[in-house]
Amino acid sequence: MDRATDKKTAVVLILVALVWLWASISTIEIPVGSAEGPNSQTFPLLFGGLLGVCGLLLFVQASINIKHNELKSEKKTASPEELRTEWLCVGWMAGSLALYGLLMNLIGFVAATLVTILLVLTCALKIFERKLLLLLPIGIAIGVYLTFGKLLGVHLPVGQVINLGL
Amino acid sequence: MNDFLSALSMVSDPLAIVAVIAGSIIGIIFGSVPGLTFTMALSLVLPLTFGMPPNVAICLLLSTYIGGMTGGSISAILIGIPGTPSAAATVFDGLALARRGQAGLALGYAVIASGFGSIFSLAIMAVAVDFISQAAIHFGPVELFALVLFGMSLICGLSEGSILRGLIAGVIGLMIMTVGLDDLDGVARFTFGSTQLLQGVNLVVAMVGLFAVPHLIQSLVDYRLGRTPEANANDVKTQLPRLSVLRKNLGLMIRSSSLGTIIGAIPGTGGPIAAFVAYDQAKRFSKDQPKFGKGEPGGILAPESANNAVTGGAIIPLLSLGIPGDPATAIMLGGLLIHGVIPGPSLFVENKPLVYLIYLAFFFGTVAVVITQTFGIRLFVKVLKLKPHLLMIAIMVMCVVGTYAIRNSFFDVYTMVIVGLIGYLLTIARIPIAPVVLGIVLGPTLEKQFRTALILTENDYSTFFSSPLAVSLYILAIVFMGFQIYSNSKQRSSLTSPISPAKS
Repeated sequence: MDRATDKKTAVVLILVALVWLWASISTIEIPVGSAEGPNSQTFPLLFGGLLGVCGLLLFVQASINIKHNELKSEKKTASPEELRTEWLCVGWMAGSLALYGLLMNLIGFVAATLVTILLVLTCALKIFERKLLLLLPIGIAIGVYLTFGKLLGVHLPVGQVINLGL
Repeated sequence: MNDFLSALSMVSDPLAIVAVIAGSIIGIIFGSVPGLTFTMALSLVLPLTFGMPPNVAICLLLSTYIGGMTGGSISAILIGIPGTPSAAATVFDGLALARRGQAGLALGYAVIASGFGSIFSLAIMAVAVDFISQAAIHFGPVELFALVLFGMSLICGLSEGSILRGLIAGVIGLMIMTVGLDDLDGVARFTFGSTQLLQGVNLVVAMVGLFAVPHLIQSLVDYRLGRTPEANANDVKTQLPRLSVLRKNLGLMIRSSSLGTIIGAIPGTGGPIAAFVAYDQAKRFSKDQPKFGKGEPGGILAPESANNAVTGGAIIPLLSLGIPGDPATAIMLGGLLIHGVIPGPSLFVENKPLVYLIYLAFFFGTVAVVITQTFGIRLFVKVLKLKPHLLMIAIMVMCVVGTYAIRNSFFDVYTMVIVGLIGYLLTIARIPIAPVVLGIVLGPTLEKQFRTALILTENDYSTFFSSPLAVSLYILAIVFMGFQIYSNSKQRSSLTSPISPAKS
């Protein structure tokens, strides 16, 4: 299982390195008069090349039958159901964070916090306890507003579409 | 003397005092809850310091760091799970003492040892930093490049047993930091026409993404798969140990603190190594060896003084050379840079009061942490009982608010999410995060000093071998990497060697 993961990782790294190298050559301009010596392209090309080499080495390492790789993988292989749940959670968390940012821009910090926490509690965590659904979003929204907004002077967005004035 | 008095007045500012207390509480909370780390606390607190004066920000960050390192002992003693990896060695005797009904005394040993270790390392720090920076003031671009290269070679120490994976992580960090405007030529790199990307990936955004987001994802996964354990900690009151016991173990605490300071000063090592080495030497040289693991005071005093001494030790290379000793000091480096403080030799010439401020903030931070943990232990036990998935929601809010607060930019929030996803994918691929941070922090300096050295010598590459100090650093880097490769392969061969028959 670990060796298969390592091979997939290696392939991804090599692909990223190739794309990076292409982007370095095609998008980074070399200023006039800096033909000799390292320039703006040098280090991005170097790092991309290094990543590609490391990816190749990882692929080779994963392909050779090295005992320690197998001994090390005492971790239980995840079932398809567990893997599916894991990737769903990745999507949920990334989506929640991005949505939170988007909502803050549109409806302001307080409203966005209430909506996002409710969504996470009900849809991601599947919690429907009424007391918690009421107290947690309000408690966190007010607590953060008072602590960061008022006490620490952190600017919290007010919302472009709906502005509650908070 | 004037510089010292100036620093004293800065640290006596009421806001600075509040920051010290708040930082100690935040640090202890994050240190005591398994799964949260003081590195995460620092990455979340850092954006909030933007609006603060530098003296207040430094007090907050330092006390959070010290609090986090100290707080790990709480859960180690009460529930047998170290709050931070640095407290792992404290479990052996701390939990044993707690099971004998003396949890309060065990916490007392831990907090006194932690305070001792921190103050001891501060004394060493004050002397060593000045000495090293005097030497480093003569460094040119070649020496600085060699130093940063040496710092990058310490990726091996952060690579958790696989140097190749550590190298991959370091290169990824270096790649991330090339995004934006090139410092020397002013050329846009990988911005794809976006004006927001011209400033590159903000260091703090990257830190929050790499440390906090994977934790959030993992918390959700653990909850959905029913893997979240309940922390069962009883209420307890800290009981300070008798002076006679402390006097008896004074030599032990001094030895452990010395070890911790030295280990902390070597970039790439850290609290866990210091704690275990200290525990091992305490047991080895003890007359009561059989008592270790059964509640022996030395088994708590040694690792706790060592791991806290690491905090002062890690600041030595940070202040004197501008090289962070571990991810936590890398975040603090980010914090100092944001407030216009550039660590390194020039700091001692241009801003001596700030150096004294750091020493004083470290001292008062230690005192605040000791007092807070002693008298506030009931609060921290309550926090320990909070359900992790609910804590996850609070951290999620702090992540978004914190990253937005950096530049009042939602772009930073989305960048945090993307970097966080990359961090989680790296975790799945068993690629460590710490070297990524090292690459992000040291990358810009590595490139800038390399190119500057060549510009000054009209592309004469032999300049990199013209300085004896630079050559020594290259050799040290090779030796260090060689040693890491050797010890990793030794560890692997001990895993694969046949088990020898038990002696009758």
